[in-house]
Amino acid sequence: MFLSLWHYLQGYVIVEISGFNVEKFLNLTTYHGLILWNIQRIGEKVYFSTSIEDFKAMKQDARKTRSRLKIVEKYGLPFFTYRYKKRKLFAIGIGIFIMMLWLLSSFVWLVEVEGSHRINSLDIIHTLEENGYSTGNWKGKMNLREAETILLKHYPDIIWVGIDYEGTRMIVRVAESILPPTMNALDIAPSSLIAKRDALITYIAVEKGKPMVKAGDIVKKGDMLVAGEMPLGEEDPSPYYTASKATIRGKTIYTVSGDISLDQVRKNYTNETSKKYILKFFDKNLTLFSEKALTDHYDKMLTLHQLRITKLFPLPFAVEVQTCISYVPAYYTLTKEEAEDRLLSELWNEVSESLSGEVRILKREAYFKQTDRHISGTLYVVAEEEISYPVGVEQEMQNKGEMLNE
Amino acid sequence: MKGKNKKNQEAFREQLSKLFEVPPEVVSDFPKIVLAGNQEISIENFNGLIEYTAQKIRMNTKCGVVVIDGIELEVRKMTSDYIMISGTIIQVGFVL
Repeated sequence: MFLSLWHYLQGYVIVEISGFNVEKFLNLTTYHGLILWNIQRIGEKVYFSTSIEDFKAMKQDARKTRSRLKIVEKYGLPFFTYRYKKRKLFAIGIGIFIMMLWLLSSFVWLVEVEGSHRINSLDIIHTLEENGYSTGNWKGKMNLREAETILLKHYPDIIWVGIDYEGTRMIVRVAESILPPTMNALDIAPSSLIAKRDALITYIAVEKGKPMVKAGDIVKKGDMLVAGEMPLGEEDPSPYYTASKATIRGKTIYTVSGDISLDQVRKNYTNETSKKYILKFFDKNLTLFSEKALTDHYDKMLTLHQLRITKLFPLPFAVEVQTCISYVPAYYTLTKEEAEDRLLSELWNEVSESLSGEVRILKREAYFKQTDRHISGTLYVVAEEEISYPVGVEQEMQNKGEMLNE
Repeated sequence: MKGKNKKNQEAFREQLSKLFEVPPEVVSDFPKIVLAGNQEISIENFNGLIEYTAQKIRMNTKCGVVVIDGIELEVRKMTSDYIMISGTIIQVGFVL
């Protein structure tokens, strides 16, 4: 394969030779170091291929052996360029084509982020854009190592960045650091336990820290339940800090209300669709082709296709397809019971989201009221649940430290 | 006298190849003939063609004339001491 390519670049001729001393001729040429290949005898004549220089050199051998040489065909680049020598515009066209290819492929047309899990890929792309590393820039102008440092400085969570070009894509490979488990930090740092909402304490068991409340107390939201700061002893007033740990359960009351309309709408989709094709070039939009728009009710669906030559060379164009799917709105009326059911489940979902820990529902009551075409409802829930959450006491410690210094 | 000298030279080369454990075709001028099935034959150290047609190729070598009979024989490559022939080979023979 490479040999034939080499022959093509060098140029070669297929020669017809006739005479009585063909074997002698072949011996002479090879003796003189000329190279022949594909020697074929068809009838009385012998055909072979040889390079241009060798053909010139073998003319004297032919004279010696009284054979007649005749070029049957010429192959290769030298003959091709000779043939197109006079067509200057053709050559210029080829030159411009290659230049354009080179020029267009030396821009970045797409930025892709790989390996980011916690950090949004779009944020990384925006950060790069703000610093001048975005699509449409010339590759030679951008210093990738600098971009890497910018990203590293901007996101402390990123431990390593590698930015490379692959064709016209700019690939940002990101390795994120693994966060230390947060549980550990809270265990070590001194913290207090705070009530998350108004409650009646039913049970309190303290492992660490100084309890500030006892069972039967009524606490307000934000009250301190267990203090992480306490005096070292009865005689020694200097403070001692710990990470509080306790199980505190309390009765809490939730009241949520909402309303629902008896008239509901359902979307019955039909097969009727209309498509619109838009060519996007950076910020510019150009409608390529659009079908007759739908007038009635419809939902819009957008899909974006990036145009690219192979996977490596995305182009700066994208085609957006807007598909409109029409639907027929179906109006229907809920019965009173259905509406109440639906409303109740909505309200209950709202409540159960804010419940935490081991939950025991003590009481659940719902009241509904119908006004015109609406039903409004209120749900009361009395629950026994975990009511504390930890808050660090570092801030307090600092304040104390300053006071002591003074 | 000359013939005897030549024979001595041959024997010396053979001994040399045995002594240094090199393949004999490297040291001597004997042809090395490689057949690939009946489709291809390549010969190193040949001394020129005598007859070349599509059915019969004869060539000079150190150990006499090598005759190749076949169908649609064609020389793929040829230099002054190497030849590669393709086609359907029927027989290869030596004429002393």
